[in-house]
Amino acid sequence: MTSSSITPQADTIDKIDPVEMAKCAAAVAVMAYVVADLPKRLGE
Amino acid sequence: MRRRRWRADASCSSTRRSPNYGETVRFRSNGPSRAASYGALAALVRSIGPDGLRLPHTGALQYTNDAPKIPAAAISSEDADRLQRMTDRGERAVVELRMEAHFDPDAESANVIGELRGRTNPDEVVVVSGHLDSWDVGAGATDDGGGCIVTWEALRLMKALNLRPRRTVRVVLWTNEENGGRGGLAYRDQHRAGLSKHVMMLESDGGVFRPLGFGFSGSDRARETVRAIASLLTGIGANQISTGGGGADIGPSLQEGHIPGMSLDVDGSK
Repeated sequence: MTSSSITPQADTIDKIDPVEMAKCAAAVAVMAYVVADLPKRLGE
Repeated sequence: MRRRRWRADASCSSTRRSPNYGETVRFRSNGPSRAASYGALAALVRSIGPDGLRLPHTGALQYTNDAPKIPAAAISSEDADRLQRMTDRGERAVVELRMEAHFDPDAESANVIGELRGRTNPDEVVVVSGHLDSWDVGAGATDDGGGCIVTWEALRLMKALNLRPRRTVRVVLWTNEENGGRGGLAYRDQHRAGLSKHVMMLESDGGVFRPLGFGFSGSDRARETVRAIASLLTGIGANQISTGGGGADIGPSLQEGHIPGMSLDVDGSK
């Protein structure tokens, strides 16, 4: 992206809290793992 | 770099403030072509979002073929309010517009895919995903770097803990979400024969702030199972299951394969 003095830099890493992000990863990991490991396929 | 300049009287049709992104975003996506059909030379679109220290919120638009493709740009809520006040006072607002935005020719790109192969049913797949591309207002940390990190990290955690589920878990980092979704379309087309083996697809594209739970789209029976699984996350407060799970990139596959879809729900109040 061409840098420009009028382009605001809003979507930057400082907005992300590492602990909150780690909890998101944990939530995705638990959901994905259990769905993938169900004895019967999800919905059956 | 191409520079183009326009100078014209501004007339104002402000969308004002609306709490509903889904209803309001059509002013951005369809407004420029509508304005062009009334003779507008360019369209300035009020940011679809809260006041934000005069930062414009930008996003995609769709031109129709029956109106000139006029330049369109997002302006901040504060600047939109200012134009509105000037218009309300009967003042003549003149806007000089300089834009560098343009389309480059298509270039080859690719989705990035990793897998933890299933223990007993490796041909059945659970997909978790985020998109690698981003918009121009920054580094793309939240939209959607965070989604890529947490879905990648989910597989890394399983591997580090030596957990291998019955079915395959696949992380997909999509290309081209912001500019047409062709990563999602290509996945659907290339995996068409295997979509029936997709058990569930999840996309995280709403930020990685404090997790609240998941959106879910699918059968009531599957929803009950997902709700029970989410109860495992009560300890971190991420046990809510809301309606309407999905995402821009997984959407084409969900629709064609009638696959249960999920999104990560987070506290988006930041």
